[in-house]
Amino acid sequence: MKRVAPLLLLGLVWAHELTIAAEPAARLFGAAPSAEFNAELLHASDLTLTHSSDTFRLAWTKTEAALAIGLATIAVDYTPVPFDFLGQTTELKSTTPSFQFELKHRAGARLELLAGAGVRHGFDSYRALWLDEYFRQRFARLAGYRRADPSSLAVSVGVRWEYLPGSGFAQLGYSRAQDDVAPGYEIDFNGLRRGQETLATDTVALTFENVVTSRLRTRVEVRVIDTTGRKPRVGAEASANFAIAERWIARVDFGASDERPTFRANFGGVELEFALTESLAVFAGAHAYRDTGEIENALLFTSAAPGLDSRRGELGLRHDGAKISWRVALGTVASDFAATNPATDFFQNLYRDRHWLSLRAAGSWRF
Amino acid sequence: MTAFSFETSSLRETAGEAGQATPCISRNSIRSIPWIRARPWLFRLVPLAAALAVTGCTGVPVAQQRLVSRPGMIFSDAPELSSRGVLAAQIEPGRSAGGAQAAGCTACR
Repeated sequence: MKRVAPLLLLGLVWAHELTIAAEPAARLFGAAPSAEFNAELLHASDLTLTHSSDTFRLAWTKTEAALAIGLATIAVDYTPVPFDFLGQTTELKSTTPSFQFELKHRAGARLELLAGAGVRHGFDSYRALWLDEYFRQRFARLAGYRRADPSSLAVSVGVRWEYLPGSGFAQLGYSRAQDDVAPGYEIDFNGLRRGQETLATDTVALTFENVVTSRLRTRVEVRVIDTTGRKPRVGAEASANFAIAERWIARVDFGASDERPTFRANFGGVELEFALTESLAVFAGAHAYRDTGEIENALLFTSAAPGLDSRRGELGLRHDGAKISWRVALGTVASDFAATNPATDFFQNLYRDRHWLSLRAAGSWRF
Repeated sequence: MTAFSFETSSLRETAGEAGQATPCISRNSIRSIPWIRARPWLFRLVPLAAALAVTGCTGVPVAQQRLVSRPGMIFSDAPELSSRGVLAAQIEPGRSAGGAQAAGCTACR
C-alpha cells in the first residue's frame, strides 16, 4: 500500500488537472489569481528545522501583487560541552512567523518596477537560538541581561530592464533590513556588556540574465552587502542552464563571497534533469560549499564559527502542468566544521559535524 | 587564498576571452574600483559577468527559444522552479544574500 499511495496521489493530481484544464481561468478583482506553497525540512540528530510558506498572487495586465505568509520552526537538543559547569542540557523550540508583500508593475514595454516589504518575528537560525540559550544559562542572573526578542523589518525596490526582447535582462535591486537580533554578551571587571541589538543591512544586487544561444541560458549576479559594524560583503554567482538534448538539461552554478579581513566562501554545483514525459521530469544534483569561518576579533572567547566544508546531494521530481506545477526533492547534506580552538571550545556542540536529511516540496496553482 | 586557486585559474582564460570580446568595457576602469582592487579573484569574475551580459547583445530570436523556454531552463522565483530552499542559508551561510548576524555579535563581526 505504501508503494501504491504515491502513484495514486500522482494519478489524482493529473486527473484533477485534466478536469480543470478545460475550465476558463478564474478572475478575482479583475486579476488572474494563483497560489504557491513551499515546505522544507532539514533534520540532523540534534536539530530539526522546518520552513513553510504560502503565497497568494493576483496578476492584472500591468501589475502583480503577492502576499506570502511563512512559518519557520527550530527544535534543538541543546547540549553544553562537559567542561561548561554552568550549562544544562535542555530542549529548545522556536516558532517564527513572517509576512512578505511584493509588487511588480510594468512601466513600459521593456521595463518593470519592483517593490517589497517584509516582517519577521522570532529567531532566524538555529545558531542564534543555540547561542541565546548559552548566554541565558550563563548570564540570566546578572544585572544587564535581558531576554532576547529578535525580529526583522525589510523593504526593497528594484528595476528590471528587458534590454533585448526575450533574450537579455538586467535587474538592479536595493534592499534594507533592520534586524533586532539576539545579542551576545561579554563580561569583564566592569560587569556584563550586552552586544549591539539592532543591525541594519543594505544590499545592492545587479543581475544579468541572457539567452546566449538556442540551448544556453545564463544568469550572473554581483552583490554588495553592508551590515552595521562589518566590512561590506561582496559576492558573485554565475549560473548556466544548458539543454544538452531534447530531454536532457544540465544546470551549473558557481560563486564566491568575500568579506574583509578574512571571510571567504566559494561554492558550486551541477544538476542533471531528464524529462520522463511532456510534463514530468526527474533530476539529480551535487553541490559543494566551503568557507573560511566567521570573522572574529575576540581576545579571549568568541562564538564565531570555524571554517565549514559541506557537500549536498539531491534527487527529485518535477511536474509542470497547465494549472498545477510541483516539485519534490529529497537529499542529504554532510557538514564538516574545522576543529574549534581554545577560544571557541565552548561551542563544540554547536559547530559539530552533522549529516542532514533534507526534504522540500513546492508547488503553484493557477486558478 | 589556496581555496580559490581552482576558481582563479579557470576564470583566467575566460577573462582573457572576455577582454577581446567586449572592447566597450575597459579593464583598467574596472581595476580602478577600490573593492575590486583589494580582491584580485573578483576582478576575474567581473569581466565574466560583463562578458555574459554583452554576449546577449547578439540576441536569439524568440522562434529559436523553444529549448531555453522549457520550465527546467528558466531562472524563476516560482518555488517549484527554484532549486534553492530557504533553509539552505542556515547551513551554507556564505551563499545566502547576507543579512544581520544573529547572536554573538559582541565577540565577532
